[in-house]
Amino acid sequence: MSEALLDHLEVGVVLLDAQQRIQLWNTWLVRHAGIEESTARNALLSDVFPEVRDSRLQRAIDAALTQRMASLLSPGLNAPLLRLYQRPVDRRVDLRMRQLIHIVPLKGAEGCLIQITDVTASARREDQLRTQSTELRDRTYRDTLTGIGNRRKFDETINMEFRRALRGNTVLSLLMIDIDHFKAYNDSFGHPAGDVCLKMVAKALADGLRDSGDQIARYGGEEFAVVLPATDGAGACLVAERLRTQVEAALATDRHRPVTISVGVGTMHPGAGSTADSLISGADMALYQAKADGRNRVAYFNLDDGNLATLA
Amino acid sequence: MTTPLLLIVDDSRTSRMLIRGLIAQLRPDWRLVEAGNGDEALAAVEAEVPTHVSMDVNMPGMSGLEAAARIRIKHPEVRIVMCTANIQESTRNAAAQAGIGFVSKPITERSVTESLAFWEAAP
Amino acid sequence: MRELDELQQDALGEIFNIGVGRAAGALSQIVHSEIELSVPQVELVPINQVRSTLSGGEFLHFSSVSQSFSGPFDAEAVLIFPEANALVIVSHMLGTHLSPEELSEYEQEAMCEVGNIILNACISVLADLFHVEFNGGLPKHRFSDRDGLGFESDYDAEFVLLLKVSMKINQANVVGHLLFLLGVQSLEALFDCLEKYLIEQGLR
Repeated sequence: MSEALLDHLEVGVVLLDAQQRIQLWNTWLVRHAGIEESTARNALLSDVFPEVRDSRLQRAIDAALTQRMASLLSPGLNAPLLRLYQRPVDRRVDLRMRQLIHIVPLKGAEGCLIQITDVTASARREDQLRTQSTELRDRTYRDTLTGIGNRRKFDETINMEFRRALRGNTVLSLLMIDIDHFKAYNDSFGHPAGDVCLKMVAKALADGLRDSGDQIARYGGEEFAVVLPATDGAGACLVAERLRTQVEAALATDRHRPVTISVGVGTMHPGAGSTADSLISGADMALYQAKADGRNRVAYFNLDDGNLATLA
Repeated sequence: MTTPLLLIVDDSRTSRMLIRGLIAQLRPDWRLVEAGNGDEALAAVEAEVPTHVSMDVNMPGMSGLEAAARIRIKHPEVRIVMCTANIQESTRNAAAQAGIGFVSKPITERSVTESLAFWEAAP
Repeated sequence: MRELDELQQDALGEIFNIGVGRAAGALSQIVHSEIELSVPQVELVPINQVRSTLSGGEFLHFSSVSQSFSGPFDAEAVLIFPEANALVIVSHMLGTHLSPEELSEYEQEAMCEVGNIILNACISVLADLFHVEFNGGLPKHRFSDRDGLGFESDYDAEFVLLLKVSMKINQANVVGHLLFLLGVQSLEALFDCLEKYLIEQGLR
């Protein structure tokens, strides 16, 4: 390869000898590293780029020189390593270019070739797309009013946890939660007040969950659902009762606008042939029972043995 | 004092044979037993409590760390060295907390010498 | 055709286990979360049987990273995952949720690097224990489907050393295969190296 040709390449090319001294340093590197060829030639790479010491690039160079292995450092898995800059202004704020680096041992000679490609433009586009897609995903799965998961999120969660419980042969519980007399509340105090009420209930519920993977979502209207993985009926009733008292303590004290909730607990060991819908209907059935027994209470339905009971 | 008994736990027969061969050279008086997985190791400990254990971390079924922990619960005096190629900090920390030694694979004279240093150090 | 005896099979399994163990350490450092890798079985199969061996239901679309090695024996080393599993790996490593259509250069390069680390680690353990040297090429990433694994035509191989790899990252368990494609002479040379190693270690 002639050096004149190398100088026209839009990639950085460094040739190292077996002692890791620079034998070749093309114009691209002069431009982006701000280091003259005369300075770089015969210098140790780690003197020109001190950031190489102890880095993954150093290990890749060692592997090329001692074991004759080629390596690749991708911009996705590695932070920009070398002090290379697209524009002079970037140097002042140390905004390094995004780098794709290939390290290849030389054929039939001691030494290795390092090629650096500037992928800043595409990496930046990737970052933007990624941020957008994360935001979109967030929006797709979040209830805009209350900030908790929405119905779509619930559908995915319940199905995923159901399959997981089926595979692991573990128990799964679900809470269906409804705000008592919400229609009357809305009618008396207006929709804006109803929205505030929904937000407060959602917050009280979310605060009462365990850290162990309990997942809450707004199921629809004034109804919420909480998926409790690997939790049996007794455990689920404890959580349900805690949520009920928490809402009572936070929101039922306003004498003019008291807010309470009823909770239906469904619990089962998912078996062959059963679906997440069985569990949802079971929890719904318990919720109706809680309403029928006077509201502001927890009822429980065990789908394994058909036991239905309202907690005192 | 009775001669030390070393329990070698590894799912690879090659590794067990390598350790056995090196120990036979370096400590010819030691008695050796082998186990191919965690359950066999626990059964071997039931039969006779070893002085030292060489334990592979990555085995099908019960992991080496779990087997080592179970041996330690019943027999805290047993000196256990974990052998693995997988020198991750989390594994190393878990072993260190349990008072367990650590050497890296492949099995070589050096790794076995390091194990011996740990086994024979005063507890 | 040549077959691996029990000791050879066990020794190769152990060598590759050490290789993927080292790779797991390197990958964990890069992504700052614990990664476990293991190689449970080693099989030697004729190349025309690879497709049927891999043709489990999930193996409809593949993502593969391949690298060629030359030395005492030449091989094309391929790390292959069902496409869905490959997505799990890159999305855990890059912290994104992507569909196959959204996979870009960026993810493919990341996948290449993952394969490069695993394949280099395996080859370097082989080189260390057999006291030999290989020349390694750069990794290539490609997508393919069951009808064309994509690599058969590039390479004059007749045998495949096939290893099942399982990879655990952030609780997700991902299964793929590691393939070493070998010509007849290379297979013989591999057997020679392996026998020398077993004899040197006093196991034969």
